[in-house]
Amino acid sequence: MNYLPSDTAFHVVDDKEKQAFFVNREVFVSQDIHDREQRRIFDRSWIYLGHASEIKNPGDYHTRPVAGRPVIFCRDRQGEVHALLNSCRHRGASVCRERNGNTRQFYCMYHGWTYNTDGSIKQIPGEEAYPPSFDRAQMGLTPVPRLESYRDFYFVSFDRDIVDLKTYLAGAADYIDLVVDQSPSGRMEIISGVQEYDVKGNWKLMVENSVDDYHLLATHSTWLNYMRNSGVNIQPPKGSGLLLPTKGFGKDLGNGHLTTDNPNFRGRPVAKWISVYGEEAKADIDTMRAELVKRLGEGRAARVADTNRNLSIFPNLIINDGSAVTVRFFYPIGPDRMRVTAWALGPVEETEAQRARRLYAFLTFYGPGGFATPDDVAALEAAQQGYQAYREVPWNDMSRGMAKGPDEEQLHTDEGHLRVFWRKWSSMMEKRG
Amino acid sequence: MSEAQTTNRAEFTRDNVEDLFFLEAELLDAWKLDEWLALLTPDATYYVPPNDSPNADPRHALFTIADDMLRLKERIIRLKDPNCHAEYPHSRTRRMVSNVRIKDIDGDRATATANFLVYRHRRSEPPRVFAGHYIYKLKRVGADLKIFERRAVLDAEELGALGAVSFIL
Ligand code: FES
Ligand SMILES: [Fe+2]
Repeated sequence: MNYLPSDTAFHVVDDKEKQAFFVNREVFVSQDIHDREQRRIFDRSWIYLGHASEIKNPGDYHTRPVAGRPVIFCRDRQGEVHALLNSCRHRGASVCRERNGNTRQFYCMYHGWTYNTDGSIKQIPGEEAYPPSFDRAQMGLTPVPRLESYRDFYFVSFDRDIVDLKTYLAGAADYIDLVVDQSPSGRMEIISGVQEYDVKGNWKLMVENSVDDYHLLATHSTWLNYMRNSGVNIQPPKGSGLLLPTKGFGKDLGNGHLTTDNPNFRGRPVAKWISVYGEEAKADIDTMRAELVKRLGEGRAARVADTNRNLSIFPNLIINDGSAVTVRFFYPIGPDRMRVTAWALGPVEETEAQRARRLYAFLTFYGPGGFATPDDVAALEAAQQGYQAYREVPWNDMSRGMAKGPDEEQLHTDEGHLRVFWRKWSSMMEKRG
Repeated sequence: MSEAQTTNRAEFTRDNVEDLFFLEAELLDAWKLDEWLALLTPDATYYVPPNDSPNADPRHALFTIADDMLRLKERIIRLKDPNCHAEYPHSRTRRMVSNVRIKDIDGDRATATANFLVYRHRRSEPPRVFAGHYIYKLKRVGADLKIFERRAVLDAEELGALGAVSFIL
């Protein structure tokens, strides 16, 4: 008999005995839940801010919304990195209205206060009019309470008391290492050209979708056709019972982070050749592969080059290290809409040909003009529309792979790793006895 | 058709270039993608540069779309497939192409620009308006003008509410 939960106040039902896992669809539509998520999740987690390579030089800055606040991500004239709230201490105007650039100061166009690139106050026009209680030194731009980085990935937190970033990242740090190990010098960079687009769906759908390999066959059949037409083998091995050409896994990395971990079939710019790259790329890929082996040893080189992973760092950062590397974060604009920001990431020492190959590979799959992402967006929007019937059809079933014992591996086409996200979400949003 | 007319059609005049662009718009709005592809040379490229760096080079910057002919053909296979979920059913589009200018003529090649407004309609949603300009590289091939590079540059600072560029822009 099909089991459905009844009489529960909880939105996440995790019933190990019945081997059932349900998420109530109200979590995707409710304004109240959306509002509570801002305070309970986004204000109490480490949130991705940006990558060191975006602000290489003193005075470099980027402005971007982070957890709903306008933030300046910048490197001061002394080379220190800052995350400053982009709001004038006088009466609140943005002090930097450009997307990015290099500057000696931030100038508020309203009454002309200026700030140094470390946030300290530089100049206040007509300062003599202020009373003695006005302490000029205290009037610098307000920094985000916490700012830390791991391997050039900068995160902020609005929770002063949160654990340090490395502890927070838990097992996700190893997977960031696998991404960064693609660079001989351990330095990756954000490649110019940002993709910012809205999806008319709840932000949590993007977490699920980014790591859910169960959807590949149905949602991305046209991408699979493209790969097959280009000479890539997309057949699951005969009799394997697999949905996809390789047997991948879904993993719990602790603290709500999770990843897929798949033997590669779709090619990797570092360093696994597929026919899409063209014959002429073969020798170059071999050279890159040899560099990996020399630097990391056979085993680690194979780990870096022959496996791919879609890594989800709670709550809203995805690093897809697949056909290329994409760094993607998203933030809810409302319960039914999110803004996605995505970049390509690559090793700093890539040659022009290698970089071009990476970008070409990226666009085979990812991004708003790619062969796959637009269909993901369509799927999430279709789900969001379906959730309008959440009162009558309240439960998402997320029990794939649940009958397996604790020692059995969860496949990438199971939902074990998606449940990791929801357990964390529930622990922050729902009080249990 | 007389000899004189044939030759004439391959001249880089505004009339001829506009004819080509208007025909292209008509074919794309009608989703006649194979006929559209025939307006391009076999080595043609199609670009939609990133919104934040419209002048970028696709070898150095991440584009929204950067297709060579190999991939463009695959894109068209995809767009005709009912499993191309983002465009199934096909969006209704309406293109306004105007301000056509021939910028530069060099033997059998020329650069031309045009402004565009593309309205994209889907069921139960307000129309999305893609505004921008095209930069075309054209080539005289026999008695015709053909497109060998096509760059659709969006004015929007970010894609934002435009969402994806899942159709041919
Ligand atoms: S609000 Fe910035 S100077 Fe007044
Ligand atoms: Fe997908």
